[in-house]
Amino acid sequence: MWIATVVQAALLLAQLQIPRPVPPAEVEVERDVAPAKHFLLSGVVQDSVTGQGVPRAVVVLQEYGRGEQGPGSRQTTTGEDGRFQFTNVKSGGADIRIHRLGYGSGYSYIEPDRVGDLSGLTVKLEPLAAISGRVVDDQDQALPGIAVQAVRLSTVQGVRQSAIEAGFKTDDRGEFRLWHLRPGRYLLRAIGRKQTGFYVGYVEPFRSRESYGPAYYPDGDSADTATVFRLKPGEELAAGFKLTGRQAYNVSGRIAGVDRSAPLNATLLKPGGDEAGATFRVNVETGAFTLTDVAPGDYTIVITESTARQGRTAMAEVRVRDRDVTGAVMEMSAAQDMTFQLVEEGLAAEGRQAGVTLLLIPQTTSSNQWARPITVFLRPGTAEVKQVVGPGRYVVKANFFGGYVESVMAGETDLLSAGLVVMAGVAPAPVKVKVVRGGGKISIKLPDGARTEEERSRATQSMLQARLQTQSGMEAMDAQSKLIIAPAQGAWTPAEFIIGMTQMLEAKPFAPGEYLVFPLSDQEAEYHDKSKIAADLSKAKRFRVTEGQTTEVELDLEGEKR
Amino acid sequence: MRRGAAWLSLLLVLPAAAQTASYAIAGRVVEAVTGAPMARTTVRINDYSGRSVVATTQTTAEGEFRFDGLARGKYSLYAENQAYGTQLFGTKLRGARYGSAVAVGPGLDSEHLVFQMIPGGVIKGVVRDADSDPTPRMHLVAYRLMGQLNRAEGVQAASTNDRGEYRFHGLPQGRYIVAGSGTPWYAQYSDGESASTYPLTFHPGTTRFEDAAAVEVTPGSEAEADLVVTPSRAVNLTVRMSGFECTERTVAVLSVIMGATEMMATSYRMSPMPERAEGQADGVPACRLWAGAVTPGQYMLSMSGGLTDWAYRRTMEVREGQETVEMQFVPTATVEGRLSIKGTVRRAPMIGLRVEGSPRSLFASVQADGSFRFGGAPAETYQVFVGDLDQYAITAMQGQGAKMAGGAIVVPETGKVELNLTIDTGARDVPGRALKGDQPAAGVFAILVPKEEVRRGVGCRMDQTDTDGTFRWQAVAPGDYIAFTFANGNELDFQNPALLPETHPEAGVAVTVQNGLGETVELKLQD
Repeated sequence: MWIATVVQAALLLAQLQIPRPVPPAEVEVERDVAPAKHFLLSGVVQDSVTGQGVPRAVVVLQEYGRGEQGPGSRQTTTGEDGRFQFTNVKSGGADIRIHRLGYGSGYSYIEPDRVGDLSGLTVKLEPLAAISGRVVDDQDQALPGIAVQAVRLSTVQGVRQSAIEAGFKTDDRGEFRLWHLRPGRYLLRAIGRKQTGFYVGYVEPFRSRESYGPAYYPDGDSADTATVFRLKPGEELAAGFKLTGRQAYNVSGRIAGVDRSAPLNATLLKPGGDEAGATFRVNVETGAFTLTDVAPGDYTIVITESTARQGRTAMAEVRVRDRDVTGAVMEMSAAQDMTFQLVEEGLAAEGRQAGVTLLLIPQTTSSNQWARPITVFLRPGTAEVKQVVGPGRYVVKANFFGGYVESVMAGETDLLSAGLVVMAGVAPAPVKVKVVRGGGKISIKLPDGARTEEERSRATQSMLQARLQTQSGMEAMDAQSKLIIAPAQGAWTPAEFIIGMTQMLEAKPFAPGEYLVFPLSDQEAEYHDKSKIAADLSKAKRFRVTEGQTTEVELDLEGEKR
Repeated sequence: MRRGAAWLSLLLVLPAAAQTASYAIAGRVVEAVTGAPMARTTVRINDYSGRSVVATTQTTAEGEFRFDGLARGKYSLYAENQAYGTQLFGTKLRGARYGSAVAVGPGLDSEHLVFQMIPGGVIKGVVRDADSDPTPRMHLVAYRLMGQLNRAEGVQAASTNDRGEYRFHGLPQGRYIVAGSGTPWYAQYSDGESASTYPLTFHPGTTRFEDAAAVEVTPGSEAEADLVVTPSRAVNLTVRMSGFECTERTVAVLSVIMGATEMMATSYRMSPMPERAEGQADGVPACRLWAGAVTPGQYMLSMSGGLTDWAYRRTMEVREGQETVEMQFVPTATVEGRLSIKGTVRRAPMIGLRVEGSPRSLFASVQADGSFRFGGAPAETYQVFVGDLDQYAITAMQGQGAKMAGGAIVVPETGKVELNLTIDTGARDVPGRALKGDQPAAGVFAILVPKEEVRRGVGCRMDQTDTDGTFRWQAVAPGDYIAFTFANGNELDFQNPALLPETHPEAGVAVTVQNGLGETVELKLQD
């Protein structure tokens, strides 16, 4: 078992473009050199909550190296009892993926050195959750046409990310149902203007000037103060809203430089980046636009082109008090190309295989197209890399396995500590990434049992999943137990490592100096804000990294685990 | 009173009565089915045209409303309440064009109005597959069957949730067909070459329109209509259209044909790809149209032109396993001609061709020299109109290359149709009054049909009477007519009113309209 796990992990690391750690010298990887054997594979697909068999699930078997043309894939369907079976499975390893309506996808794999029939394979599928309820006004009358959105939260490298998982406009009874929601942390918000009459015919409806929300369930009127709730697998959450209408106003003006062929989207952001609801109309010929249903407040209007790639944008600040705002002027400008350059401190060309990976993680609760992490890979020896970076605020992380990153400078600002702010229509300063080849390594020693067999296998599985489902890859990593390592002095630049995968940590040099290390008690903590991890920080272990040496740090995880 | 498009209403504004006497409009808003008073309802009066708001109020807990200080005249009265939507006073069918204006003045009782808010109907149900599994993300359309011809017109779209549930709401009363189509959830994991799809299936579970069960919807009722869907193999369809030069901007749509009706609401957009015969100096151009995962069945293939003008229209059958279909381009008929205007117009009106028995219309603008052209008119029988439905009276109409039937024009499959029209802008509005016994009949329908059969396609007029029993037929050309009154004419609107002399021969009254000011027409309501 141990051998197999190391092999798997090494394979994974290679595919994640991370230098492969050298396997311990005493470990011999034994290979079955006999001709590939065939065996019978059977198992059952179960509901992870009820434990019952899941009927009519699609089971896809992908065998490594099957046939002349590479991996072959075949599939079957589970019976009424959730059982499935494949005959004539070749030795050499396989991925098993399972799909069923109403469930998250399931995954399992067969080790390459598997010989002999495999029966009793159990794969559990997590049932998806749903939220339903009713939206009423302060006099308990149903509010039709209100948008209710489930905003799913995740944490990428300690930065909260949000995305609208599902949305629904309330029906004639004010009722909504959001369904097939993946388990996880959510905000639920209601927003909009009531819509009267769904069959309009020839009579134009009255224009209501009342807008509702944004309101969050169960309380709060902004994403920052709203209660985050956790949706369990298969949960049926009943959630209602009672909303008070507010007089709303229009913001109108003109957008210069509109490309007639690219449809525009408008997002209205409250201070802090929370989305406010509004209805956007634009005349693409003249650029004249109107945002209706805007409640009094201060906002940033963000106009984006709704194209598949990152297009042009316009931004403007607007203040709405007690009347319509007219004459707002905005200008579409191309999303800015940022240049990134790698600066090496007087080093020879030896060992140039590793590059620097920069990760720009947007800090916003908005769900627009810009709100996704951007990866920039800088290879030594290349002049510079250009990357389109949309307007917004980003946390910047850098990883370098050939040494350590000294700074990521944009002009006089070190982005590693200050973050990156990109404004629409303002050319961003070129970024210089300064790396040093050298530094010392850290070897984390975990107490016996802390890195259990189960944990290793769990980490491997989720890494595999990350590879298979790239979209949720970041989140799969997120679910693991994490260690934070940060310089003890100077700017707070924490880096996270998965406890089950400390090989990655051991491969990476650090700048010499004093460091803090501690496990995260809340895996979703926004640890860039020291105040949110004060308790963990108080128990941090202090150690020193010395140039050219490997520092052994023994970590006491007692009481921190689970 | 009849609601038209906004720009039409501008021309209808009556001079505001400059009178000092003060009148009131008052009454109660009640739920049409239960009779329960409706509190917290916004009530609004506009001028007769409906164009500008005169006053707005909210009903009391007893549903009462009142507007004082009004000058003598006619007002449009509207009420709005949440899911009931905005309704026009006197409307008999949700969303209809017709209602009754409220007349105020000496001897008129405008203070005891009962405003009937018509609740919408609901059709709801569950869509399941043959394994009784609910099917989410099914695309459903409620089609309302209109008139004697049972023309199905798409009224509302909905989709199913994780439990397979759907809900249409706010529906006008009538008979409906519910149709659903979609893709099985497992299709995306399919290892076959062609994915399976759910073909257009009608309640309760048939793919044949003739076997579809109609659902009766009455105001405020909830009808249930479940569907059972069975997957079939989809076709990745390529249509090779020779003789047609397309660009990537060419719009091509494959829409389902249901019975005799084409369902634009259930259609596939086809991607065009130009193709040139190579190595030939006079290579015949061709166009490849592609659509993925098309459900086998009967379709109408349409190519643009524009949104309403179609350069090509042909029915075709998509068969299981047949991925490539060769077709020869035959352009649809063009309709062009000249509009002669007797009198003056502020701006050139639009010419409209309305598909008989349907609200679907084609429009063409008139050039400075009076010429107009429909680039592609599908083979249908059309009623011709000028301006927003009957804004102008067509006094003469000649056609060549098309059959003229009952004043309507029967456009052939292909060819050139010449259509010459004359409108008389001096045609006057004909005022009238409907009586029941010797009392004014409010909220009834008055219909005017030309006596000469050839003018019926263009010369018919309809209006709903106001609270004082009066009505107005717009822009009526001089001539002999037959007039009818009916308690409810909404369902006649989209049919050919010209059929009335045949279907109700005993109900008609002869009316002659002359040039210049005529008398008010008096009609007696038939029982």
